[in-house]
Amino acid sequence: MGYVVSKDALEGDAHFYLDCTACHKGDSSKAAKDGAHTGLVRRPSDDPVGSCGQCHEETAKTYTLSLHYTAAGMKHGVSPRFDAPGERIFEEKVFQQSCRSCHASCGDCHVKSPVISGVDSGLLDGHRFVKKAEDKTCALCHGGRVWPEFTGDYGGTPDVHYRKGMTCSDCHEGKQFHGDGVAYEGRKQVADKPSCAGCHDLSKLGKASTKETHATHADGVSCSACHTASAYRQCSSCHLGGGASASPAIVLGHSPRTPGQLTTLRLIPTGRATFAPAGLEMKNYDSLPNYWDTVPHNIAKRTDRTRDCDTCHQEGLYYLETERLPAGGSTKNLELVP
Amino acid sequence: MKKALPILLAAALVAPAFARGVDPIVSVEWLAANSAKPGVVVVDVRKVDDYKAGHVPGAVNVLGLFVAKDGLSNEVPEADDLSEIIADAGIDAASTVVVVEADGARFAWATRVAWTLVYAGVPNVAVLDGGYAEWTKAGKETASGFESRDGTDFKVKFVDSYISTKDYVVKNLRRAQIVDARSYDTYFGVTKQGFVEQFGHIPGATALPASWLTVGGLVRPKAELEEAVKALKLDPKKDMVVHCDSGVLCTAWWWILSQQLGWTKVRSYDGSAQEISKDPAVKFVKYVWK
Ligand code: HEC
Ligand code: HEC
Ligand code: HEC
Ligand code: HEC
Ligand code: HEC
Ligand code: HEC
Ligand code: HEC
Ligand code: HEC
Repeated sequence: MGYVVSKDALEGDAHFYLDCTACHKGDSSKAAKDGAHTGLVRRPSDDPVGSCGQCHEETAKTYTLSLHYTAAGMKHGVSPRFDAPGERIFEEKVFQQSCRSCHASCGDCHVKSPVISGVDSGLLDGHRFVKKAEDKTCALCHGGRVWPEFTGDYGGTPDVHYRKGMTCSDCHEGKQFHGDGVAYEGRKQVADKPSCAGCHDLSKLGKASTKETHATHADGVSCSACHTASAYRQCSSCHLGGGASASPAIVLGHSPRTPGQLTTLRLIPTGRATFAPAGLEMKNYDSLPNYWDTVPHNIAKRTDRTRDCDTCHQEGLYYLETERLPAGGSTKNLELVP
Repeated sequence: MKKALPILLAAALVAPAFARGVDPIVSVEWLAANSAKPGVVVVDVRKVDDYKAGHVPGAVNVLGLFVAKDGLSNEVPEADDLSEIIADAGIDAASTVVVVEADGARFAWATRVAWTLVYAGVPNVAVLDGGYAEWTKAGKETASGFESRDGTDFKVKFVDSYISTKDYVVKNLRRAQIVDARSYDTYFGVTKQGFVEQFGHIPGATALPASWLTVGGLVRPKAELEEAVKALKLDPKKDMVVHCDSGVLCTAWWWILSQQLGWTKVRSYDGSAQEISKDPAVKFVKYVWK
């Protein structure tokens, strides 16, 4: 727990074949903390190639191009809203200094819990290099929505996969995070990623009526549109202002990334004035909508939609409506209204 | 002899209508001796990661036995979903189920699961006293990873007399004994949860905080608990509804009253204050002790 490097770890983990200074620098000839800690590197794996890369050469190289390291997904989720000069300023003044700072080091998933909102829970297991510790790693960075959605901690329904004992890396394998050497601009482009249909062969599953429902909707409706159990977080509280509320909800609309598909949408927190404090105007604000398609992690076999086709076909219960669009939002939103 | 008869009869009336095959609260020693017996299913209801890190050997991890629904935090799942969860866990109506939570502080979360199971038609359910913490404290063997049992074809058969709906409370407001399992502060009306609309309590309700049930992580002796409810003049022969804020804490007292003391007219109200405080027909009172 905490910062104690355990003796067990030192003896049992191959990494301590190296001296502390091999990774952390500092000066091991000095006995007092001040001297010994001169030049100390607290997060050696922020430089994956220089630290871990000595031995995990391939992983370290590809990792520097992966989304967890570059945070390119967050960047490209906003940058098209700027004109060319604006984008340059955004990159320097906002992205590198603020967004990029929440990227992950190797150690964030394998050695030490990431620090979130100033809370630091220390080493994962006495400095042992662990393959995974999802409840102390993924859970913290993705604690705003994905993790609690999955476990039901918001008082929602625990995901059926969680109930069956599956956790994040049962679907998201190391490869997805270590990268494959391609610098992707967003998660949709990533080649190694899970897909519902990759594990479930729908032509073989369930009763005849289930097979028929799956076949009729195969192209036009995403799995999550029907199987998302309960409301998931919408980010509206943060920046959109003007009457938006933080209340969780299910929102169904056209996917901005898969044309012609009805799917679950998530409101994203970039308002017209989000970067005004940094003196930045989004000249092309309307080039992106205020919603992204999302795969909420609270899947259930049965939902109000699987129980009753009319939830969509008659009532359009969760359908995005023009009146529900955020005031002053992007004009692009209109294209998402079913 | 002549005199004894009516007393025996009266006792028979308040005694449980069913024959329990297992004590409603079992000790670590009992579980260690019985967990491997056929028909015994140990159900660990902690988070998946905690369960995987260590659990009673053979225990299955079961989640989702109470869910958010219609704006209420802790509701019973739909019958088909509940049937599937119970069947997947390898439980059927004849099973003896032992519910394991983290520790004594989570007793009510264990009883919420236990109540759900007996309500769903699995009568022989017990709660492990002191939870998993007590098991490890006693140095008992543990297992790690994820275990599963063969599924059954269990279908729920709800025992309607165990549950109270809002309508039932509203209809019986004057007639039934209302038991409030929340803290004294909440009952008195100096504090409340954000999701509850009114301060205070249902008029005439008896305060019986769930926090009284355990001491040092273990459930207090039956005799002590019985003395406490008797002193409060609660009547086993009259209809009773136990509620709290959102339907978890109240099951702790329901478990004791119904399953341990054998009172047959006690219902647990899962909608609780979260639901009924929104009903304009029910006006809570505050700053009074009755
Ligand atoms: C001196 C070489 C060396 C360096 C530097 C090194 N590793 Fe390793 N690492 C190894 C070896 C060898 C193994 C395989 C150990 C084994 O199989 O027991 C390993 C295994 C691992 C594992 C798997 C552990 C498991 O339980 O199977 C992880 C995770 C890991 N390393 C992460 C890192 C990270 C992160 C860094 C950089 C901070 C790093 N390593 C730096 C040599 C190194
Ligand atoms: C240090 C914080 C941090 C940790 C730890 C972390 N993530 Fe992330 N994750 C992020 C950020 C930030 C992004 C957005 C990156 C971007 O800009 O695309 C992200 C993106 C993702 C994505 C979508 C992009 C992709 O790589 O396909 C997935 C999936 C994901 N994380 C899963 C996980 C899982 C599973 C774990 C644990 C094994 C984990 N994350 C650990 C911060 C973190
Ligand atoms: C193979 C590289 C490696 C070696 C050798 C190593 N560490 Fe670390 N250490 C790390 C990584 C990786 C982290 C987590 C920070 C990060 O993400 O880079 C870390 C984190 C720490 C932290 C927490 C730092 C903070 O402020 O958050 C302490 C303390 C620490 N190490 C002490 C030691 C000591 C003492 C030794 C020698 C016994 C040692 N380390 C050897 C890689 C190493
Ligand atoms: C049952 C499989 C499964 C499990 C378990 C799982 N995921 Fe995912 N996750 C997916 C799928 C499928 C996607 C969508 C991939 C895509 O097409 O972009 C996804 C997408 C994501 C994304 C991007 C979502 C978005 O809305 O932008 C994040 C972040 C993520 N997962 C994190 C996690 C974390 C953290 C965990 C553990 C709590 C986890 N996942 C567990 C299947 C899973
Ligand atoms: C976002 C989280 C995340 C980051 C960041 C991350 N890894 Fe991993 N890593 C994983 C996951 C997930 C696994 C697979 C665990 C499993 O399958 O049990 C894994 C597995 C490993 C393994 C075990 C062998 C293997 O490939 O399965 C090694 C070694 C490793 N990582 C090294 C690294 C190094 C070195 C870095 C930085 C260059 C790094 N990881 C960054 C999530 C991450
Ligand atoms: C890595 C493989 C994997 C991925 C990816 C995956 N699942 Fe699953 N899913 C499983 C497994 C394994 C089960 C448990 C099956 C069982 O126990 O019968 C399951 C169970 C389910 C169930 C419950 C089935 C039942 O009979 O109760 C549903 C519904 C489901 N998944 C939907 C999805 C959806 C929707 C996605 C995409 C968001 C998805 N799955 C992604 C492996 C996966
Ligand atoms: C139009 C709504 C709809 C869509 C879209 C949909 N499903 Fe389903 N799904 C259903 C219904 C209805 C059932 C049957 C539920 C029941 O038995 O009550 C079902 C059942 C399932 C089951 C359980 C089958 C069984 O064994 O009984 C799985 C697994 C599943 N769906 C996965 C998926 C995946 C993966 C996708 C996306 C490729 C998907 N579904 C898309 C409506 C949908
Ligand atoms: C999540 C919302 C949703 C649910 C639930 C749903 N549908 Fe649909 N359904 C759609 C959408 C959207 C389309 C149009 C898809 C397309 O354009 O390809 C569609 C198309 C269809 C079609 C094709 C007819 C046409 O006009 O193209 C049939 C038939 C159909 N649905 C029947 C059903 C039945 C039966 C159920 C219940 C078992 C059901 N749907 C549940 C959203 C839904």
